[in-house]
Amino acid sequence: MQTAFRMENLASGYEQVRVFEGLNLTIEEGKVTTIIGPNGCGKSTLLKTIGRILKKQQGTVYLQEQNMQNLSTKDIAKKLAILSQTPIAPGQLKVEELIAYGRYPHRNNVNRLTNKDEEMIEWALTVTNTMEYRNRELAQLSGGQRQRVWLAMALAQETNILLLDEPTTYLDMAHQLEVLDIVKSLNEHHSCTVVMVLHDINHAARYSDHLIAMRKGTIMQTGTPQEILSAEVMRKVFNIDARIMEDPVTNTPVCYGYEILKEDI
Amino acid sequence: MHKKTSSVFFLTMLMLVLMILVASYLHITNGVFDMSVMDVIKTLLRIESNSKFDLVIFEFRLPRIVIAGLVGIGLGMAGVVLQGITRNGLADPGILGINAGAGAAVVLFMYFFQVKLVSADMNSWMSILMMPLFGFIGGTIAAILIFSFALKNGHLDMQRLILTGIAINSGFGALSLFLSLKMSAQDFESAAIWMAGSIYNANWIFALTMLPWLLILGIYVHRKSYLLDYFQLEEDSITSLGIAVEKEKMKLLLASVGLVSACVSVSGSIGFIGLMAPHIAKQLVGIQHRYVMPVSALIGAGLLILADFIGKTVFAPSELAVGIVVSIIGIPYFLYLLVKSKA
Repeated sequence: MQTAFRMENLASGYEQVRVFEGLNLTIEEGKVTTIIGPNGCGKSTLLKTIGRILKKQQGTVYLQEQNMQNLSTKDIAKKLAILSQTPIAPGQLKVEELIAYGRYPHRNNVNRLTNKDEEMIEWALTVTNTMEYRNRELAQLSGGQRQRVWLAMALAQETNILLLDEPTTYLDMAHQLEVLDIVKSLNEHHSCTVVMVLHDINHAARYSDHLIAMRKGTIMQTGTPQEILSAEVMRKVFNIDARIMEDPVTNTPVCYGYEILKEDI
Repeated sequence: MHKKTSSVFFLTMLMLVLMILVASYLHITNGVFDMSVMDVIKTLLRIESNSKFDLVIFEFRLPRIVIAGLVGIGLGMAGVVLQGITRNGLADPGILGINAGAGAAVVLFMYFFQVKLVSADMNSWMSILMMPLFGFIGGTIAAILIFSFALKNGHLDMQRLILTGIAINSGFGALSLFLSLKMSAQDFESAAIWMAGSIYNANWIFALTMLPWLLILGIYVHRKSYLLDYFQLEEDSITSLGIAVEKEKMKLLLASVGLVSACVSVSGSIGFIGLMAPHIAKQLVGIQHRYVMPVSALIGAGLLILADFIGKTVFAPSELAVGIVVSIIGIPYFLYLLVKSKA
């Protein structure tokens, strides 16, 4: 199995604050991998660091076995796309125009879209179900629609790897699943490697092949959803006493209730 | 969709060229003494030459219009770049403190060297060239200072850039004031006029000294204007698209410093053009920067030629500095933008 990412002795953080260090981790290609953990555990920091949005402080990241340091940022952009947590764009921008931005790493002539560009934009519109409002301005869209448009921009980048930082934040329950269903189908039908950060462990369990559980900047455990959603791991990672069963419809583990553990304060 | 935007763009450009021609026509025919259109055309086309008309047109009015146009183009373009990379619609070349830095340097020049130059009886071209040169150096020093304060861990923070710009601005402003208060009355007056932004002493040498800067940097900035579209996204998304954000922002910022310095060194501190022109341009042609950039440049040129015409004629025979006219138009516009952005 080829690896999408391999991290060696990785350290990262913000200015004076070290969020994690000495991190060694491998993320497989062709899988959906989700990083979970309590607030401030470093899951977003990890995602941003492997997506080179955040400069690493130490160590090495290999992207498909190539040292990322030796790749130009444009070359990286052809291999991986990141959807950040709170993307911003001017409200007057049209959906189609924003999605066309995703073509940047492939464009030579900045003023004209090629047929290939148009094709990829159409495809991104279709996959994310945003075709009907391609000519609307971003300001006219609802939160769920806008999130799908941002996802479409990342898809237009035509990469094998997709990094998503809490793609379901601020969305209602139906729209959360809508976005995750798109992600899942991208992985299944277009062999897209997905690495994401999710808050909801039930979503993480349902949509992922692999989970990475982090706490306070260290990786507590990695494994399949069945291995991670256990009373023991939930106690170690989230400090909760979780009640877990298997969802008879999706056949994935769900946490249907929990209590806070008092001991570890 | 694209067709529509580009035809709007060409129409707008055409209208603006017409506006510039009208403003230039007003400017060239009115003044201390008025000339008819035929006189102007005859003189320009060398059909009939009259030394009085020649002098007024070629030595006074034409260079003044050309300078106003060039300065307007430079400020209009620099404004688009600055508003684009700071993602702040109220950013203006003035916030970089370049105006103030150049102003302080020119005052310093007047304070220490003016007398000497006159007594040494140097070539008059030399002293004409010295002032913009000092302005340019002062502007560049101010820009370097702002950069070094705004840079943190090799990261150019736009918030810090604006704040240090304001600080540097008032610092240099204070220095100018301090120096000018120690000057003789006559020097003080010429320094004050220069700082208020004036082009009444325009000549062809000024135009020639700023032209190469404007040409090279203007073309560069225009070629890079597509990047400003991407810079409207937040930094994480831009990086994700494979744009070297820091590097590109730095290059664009340096280019706009060059543009503003070239303008300020010739015309003194003229505010608000760099603020107004991009806004009006965006109202006209939308938010795609490859359209906004040239439109803003022409709006800047048109506005400045018009403002200079107003300044020249409204209180004739005494002149109102063009910078003051621009401020009189610009301040209400600025307040209007503030109120509108609140709503």
